[in-house]
Amino acid sequence: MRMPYQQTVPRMTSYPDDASQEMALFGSSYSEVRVVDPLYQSIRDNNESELGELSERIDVDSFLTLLDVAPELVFSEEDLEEEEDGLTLEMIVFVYQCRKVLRCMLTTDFLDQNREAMIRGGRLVGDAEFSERMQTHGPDAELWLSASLRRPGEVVLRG
Amino acid sequence: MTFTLIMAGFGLAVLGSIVGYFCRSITRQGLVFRCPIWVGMIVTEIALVTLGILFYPILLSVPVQAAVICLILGYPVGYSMADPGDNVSIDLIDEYNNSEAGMIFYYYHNGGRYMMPQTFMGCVLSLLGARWPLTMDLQFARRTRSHSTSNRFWSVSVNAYVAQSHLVGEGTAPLFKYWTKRRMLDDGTIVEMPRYLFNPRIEIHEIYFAESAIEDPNTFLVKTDTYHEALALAVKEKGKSTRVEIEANSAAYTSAAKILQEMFTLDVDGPQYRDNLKKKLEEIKKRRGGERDENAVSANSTEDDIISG
Repeated sequence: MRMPYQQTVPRMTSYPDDASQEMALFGSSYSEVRVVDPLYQSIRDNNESELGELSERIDVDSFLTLLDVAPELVFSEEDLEEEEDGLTLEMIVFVYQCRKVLRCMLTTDFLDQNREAMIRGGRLVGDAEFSERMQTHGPDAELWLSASLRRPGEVVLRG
Repeated sequence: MTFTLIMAGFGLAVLGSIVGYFCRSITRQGLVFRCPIWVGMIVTEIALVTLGILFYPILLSVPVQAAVICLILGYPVGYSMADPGDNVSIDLIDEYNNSEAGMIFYYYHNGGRYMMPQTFMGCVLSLLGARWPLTMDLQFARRTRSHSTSNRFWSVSVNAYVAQSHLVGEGTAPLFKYWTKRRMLDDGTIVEMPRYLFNPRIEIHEIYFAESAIEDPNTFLVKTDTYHEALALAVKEKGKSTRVEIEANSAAYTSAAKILQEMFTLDVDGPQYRDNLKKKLEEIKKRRGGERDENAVSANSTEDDIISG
């Protein structure tokens, strides 16, 4: 049945692949971001595997209890002595393990934050270059628009 | 007289077979037609006939000729009867993965095992000193494959040991030194370089046996479960080598992770992270499937509470 009004026809748009999207969004900082990101990932993976091994060995319930009862033992850089602190050897080893788990988690967060900052910095560079290009050459927004709209709000860097 | 001659001829034939029986352990040929001693006997007979024609008619007389022919005819009988246990059937795979069963004749000399080539000249050169070294540890021979052929009159079958690999190397074995060349080097050392009359080619054989089905080339290609078993072994080994490779490659990242970990000061950075830490520990506990024991006694409970449960 023919409609009396003009229907909006959905327009087929092709989205760029991952690499093209990243190149469009990061601009000239693409190469730096692309090279550094796997390094972050590798260090993070190492850290995570160490954390995983520690988590398997440690008693999580005891760790949570220790955080409630004596957090100053965990949040401390001081070495523990058997006689001085009234702790047994097993307890000292456990506290050191807890400290190690804490360090691993801090490292993971640190790496994630830095990686995100690096990507956002790269996006800033890309956006700035696009703005400059737009001023001189006018909007060439086909690629940039489809890249931006592909996953709105996502911090982009894949693989 | 006739009877005496007949018995003499028979006796010479028996003598020939006895000689053939013992010569089997010397020449080690599968077929007597390749035995140099027997060929030599035939050549001698031809020479006798030739000399008899040309110079010495007595050599053509019936007793002489009959004696030689009886020896020649008796030799293969004894040669074929002998079985010194020096041969083994091996299923060798050629480069096209075709199964090829063959007999290998081997012998020992000065503590080494050697292969006897099944050709006339090969046998002669081996006996003169150009031996073919053979590495073949029969104690590892486990798997056999049966080959058989038959026609209207008889059938032949052989159980051959399956070889996993057969490596053939080439070399030379010098024979008959006729000269030693001596040369003095700059530092006064005298180098001796012998010169030989012949440098015949030899082959160096190494045969390793298939001890299990996955090492047997034809079974590997044909049997699906063997193939899968071999694949699983290969995957396991690949996993092992991959793990080693990953560990080698990740050494730098491991060091970087450790440096970062030591960067934090727990008494400064730790307290701020306390809530996050608790949250992550709860997640780990949940992932491991453990639940907080509902019946566990908390620090604030009194004795009455415990009793009332």
